[in-house]
Amino acid sequence: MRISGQELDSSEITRRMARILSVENLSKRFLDGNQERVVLDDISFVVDSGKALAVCGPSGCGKSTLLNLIAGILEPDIGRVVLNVGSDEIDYASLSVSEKTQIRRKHLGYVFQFFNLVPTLTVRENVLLPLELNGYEHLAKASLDRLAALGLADREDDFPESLSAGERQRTAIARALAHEPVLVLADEPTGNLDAGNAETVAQLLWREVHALGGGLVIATHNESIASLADQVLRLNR
Amino acid sequence: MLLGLTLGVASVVAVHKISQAVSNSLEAATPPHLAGFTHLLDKDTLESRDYFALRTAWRHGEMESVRNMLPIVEGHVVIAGKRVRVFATDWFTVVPQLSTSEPDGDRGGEYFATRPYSDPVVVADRSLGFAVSNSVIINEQTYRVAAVVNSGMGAALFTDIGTAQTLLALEAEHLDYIGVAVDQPFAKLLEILDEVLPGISAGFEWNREGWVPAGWQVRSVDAELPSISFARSVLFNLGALGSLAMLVAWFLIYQVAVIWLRRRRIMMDRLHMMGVRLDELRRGFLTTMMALGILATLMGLFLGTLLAHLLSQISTAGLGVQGTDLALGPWVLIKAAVSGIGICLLAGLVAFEREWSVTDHRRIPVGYVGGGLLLVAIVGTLVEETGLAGGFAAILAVCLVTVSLTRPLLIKFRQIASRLPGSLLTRLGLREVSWHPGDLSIATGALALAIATSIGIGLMVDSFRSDFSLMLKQRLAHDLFVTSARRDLRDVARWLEARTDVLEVQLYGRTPVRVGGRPVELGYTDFTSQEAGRYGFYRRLEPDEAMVSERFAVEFGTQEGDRIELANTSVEVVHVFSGFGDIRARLLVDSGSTAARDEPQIFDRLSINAKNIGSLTLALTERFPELELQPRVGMREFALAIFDRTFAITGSLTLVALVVAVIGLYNALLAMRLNSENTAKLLTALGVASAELRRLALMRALCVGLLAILLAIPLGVAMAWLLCNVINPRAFGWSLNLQLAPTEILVPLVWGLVAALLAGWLPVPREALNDEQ
Repeated sequence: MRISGQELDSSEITRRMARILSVENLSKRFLDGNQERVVLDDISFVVDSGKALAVCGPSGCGKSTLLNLIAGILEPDIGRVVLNVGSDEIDYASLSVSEKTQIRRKHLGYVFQFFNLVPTLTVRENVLLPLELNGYEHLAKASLDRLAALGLADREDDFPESLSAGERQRTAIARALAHEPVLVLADEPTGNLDAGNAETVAQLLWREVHALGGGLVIATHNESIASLADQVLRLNR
Repeated sequence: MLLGLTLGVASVVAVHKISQAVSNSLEAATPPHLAGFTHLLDKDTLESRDYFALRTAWRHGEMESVRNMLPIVEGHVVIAGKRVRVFATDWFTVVPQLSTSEPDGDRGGEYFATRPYSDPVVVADRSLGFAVSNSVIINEQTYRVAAVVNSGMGAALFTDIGTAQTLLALEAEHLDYIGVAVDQPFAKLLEILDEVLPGISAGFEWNREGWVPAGWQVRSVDAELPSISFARSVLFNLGALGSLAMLVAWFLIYQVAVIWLRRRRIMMDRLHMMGVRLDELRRGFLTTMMALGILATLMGLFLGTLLAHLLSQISTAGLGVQGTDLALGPWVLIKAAVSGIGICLLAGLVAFEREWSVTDHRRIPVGYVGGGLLLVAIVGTLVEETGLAGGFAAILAVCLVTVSLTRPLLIKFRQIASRLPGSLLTRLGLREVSWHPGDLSIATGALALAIATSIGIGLMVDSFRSDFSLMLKQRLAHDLFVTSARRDLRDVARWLEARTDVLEVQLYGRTPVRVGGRPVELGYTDFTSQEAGRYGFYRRLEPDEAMVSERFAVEFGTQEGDRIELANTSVEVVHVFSGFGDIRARLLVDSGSTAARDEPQIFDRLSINAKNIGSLTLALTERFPELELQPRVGMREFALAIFDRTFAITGSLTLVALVVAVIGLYNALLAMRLNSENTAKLLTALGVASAELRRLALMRALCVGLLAILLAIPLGVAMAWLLCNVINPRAFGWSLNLQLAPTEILVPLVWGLVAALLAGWLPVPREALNDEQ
């Protein structure tokens, strides 16, 4: 079988088909006034289907930057990001901005620490937004069932301003998974929650992503949350 | 932030400079020989000893309110077959404001004041075709032309009294009347007010009582020249609207301060939690506002001057008129500093106090406030005794009511938007418009005010333009006007009608009568439909019908359909005509009516239209030398030129108001986009393309624009209506006919929507984002 022009054996094929994300030698610098600051330096890792990677490190070490690079929102200075969708290997380096947007729309889910939900849409509308963007109306029932499973069936018509922090994060998780993405990115999803809620939300995230067979990259400074992941990537400042 | 403040200051500067240009343009409506005079005094036989006696009395402290007086001699001569008016006064006492049209010519008065008084000299009107230093032979005497001017009087010469007496073959003691300048009450205050708000003092004219010396008759200069009163009315109304444009600009500066403060609120909260006191926070915020205000003042002065110059050039293109100058007078500097620094600080202080106040301002019931303001508007409009203050209070009240309606409208829109069909993105965009009514209501209100001011200015100028045409038709429709001192002119009319070069002759008579014990002027003529049409009544006036002037209608509480009792008959009022500032209460009837025949009928005035007015004037002068002839062609053309120029310059005022509207719109959209910046980032992360985000931004912009337009249209029309029907009558005694020209409403609306689309397209300035973003 050939993938990306290469002749591969079956074990390699199996390995590659289980691989969701490959990050190779990723580096990113920012200009801080007149000085250049290296935020990420030669980062490499892979994420397989059904696996979770925790990215840990102190504030300012580049966790959010790494997630934005994986999402295609930022461009690396060195290195590459490759997303595997089915049998397709998608190298971000070869994509235009609009193509990366399409990738993000179809294949990625995102959960943030703050401003996770569109404040002017109800809970139901927030969850269904990715389906409308992709034309995946057939997934609406499954998405709403997932929302109910997350304990928010009676809050469907409420706006985010009336939800608690934990309810908002659960809604965000339901939204991130609505279109059944291959990869979910979560940037400090429990950072705004108390310990009990943090643990609950983290486990929900793990469970739902695993059930879909996708991959999860979670940025966190919480060691107990990180310990739930299959692998941990530690970043230093 | 800095851009918003700068544009606010720039609009204040631009409005001031354009208003000044309008004011300067309209000052030229006053013929130069009457500039500075408010009244004319005369007697049955007036000689120079009468003048000197009056002057001595004045110098000894009598007639305290008289600022100046000058003797005047008037007459006419024939030069090269052309009848030329001669006007003379004591040039040594004052330098009249004659505008010299020859670049190398002296200003007439300066010549008389500084050159040796040896050669007899004259200053000639441009229409005579003389050049400076030409020699003119009149009655075998040679006179040198010292200057050539645009006097607005047609064929005219200006000279000193002695030369005029020689020119006109008059006795050395002969004078015709005395020009008097009577001080207004609070003259100094009005002068300062006019410097601050060009044109506004034109509406504050008070007639002094008791200054007329015994044995003298007095005439108002305004009554002699209809264009002066009209010009004053234009000036005043534009001054009022210019002031409103300035208030809107100040409101926009406040809006910018509110947005800036809200962007900094999170950081300020954190500082406060760390122990920084509120007064320290306030001081820091106001220091920032002052620094920005100083910068905005400097930049706004430059930008505003340039803007005024460019816009006035655009609006007067092809008229051969200079736009506004680039000079910065002291009052422009003061206004810019007040707007950029003073208002900035005040706005910052008010915004800070409101933001940090414990009281929940949203609990102030809008209904009560709105109701109170409406009451003020109604009282100010309907109760004439409230005067100009009531009229202005009414305008201010309707503006405030409009602004106060924005928040409830936004909340209502939010309820509607939730039920609208369409994609989620569409619903998202529509709901965002109304999601932060507190922020957006100020911005939308400011935008609505700015568009309304632009509509109001446009409607008002159009109404003036229309009434100006009517005024010309009523007062200056004929080529020549002939008067006599109570001599019946029917024989003159018969002589004229026999001539083949005469197209039309109309005889007029007038007599004082009493109505309800009060004196009014009864005028009569053959009121054919054409003649009646000059007053806006388009059929023949029947013998038992009458037209009354607006002044009459106001004084006697008369309206169409009422009957007026005269000494021997009664007449039905069929029409109320605008007097365009005429202070006389006039009643007009057909010359065949009983009312006109009660007194011995004398027709002491007549108007003429002719093929060649020049030769007819000469012929009349030869045949009837005792008659006073007033060529109207020159006056009509002069007035048209002045007002054409003025109305063109006011076009630039409308443009400035639109620029202010665009600033308001951009601020409104900035406020909205800053509030939705996090949503935009979230949507980007979810894979919404930038083109889709731009469409959202445009939709929001259109919604805000449409909401503001919904409020602006009735407000703009209300402003114009109040100016035409409340302010103008109370200031000048006559109503403007409000013209609801669709273009004057549609053009600002279209530009407002175009600006909305553009403002929705512009990126959010990076410095406007708060630290969290």
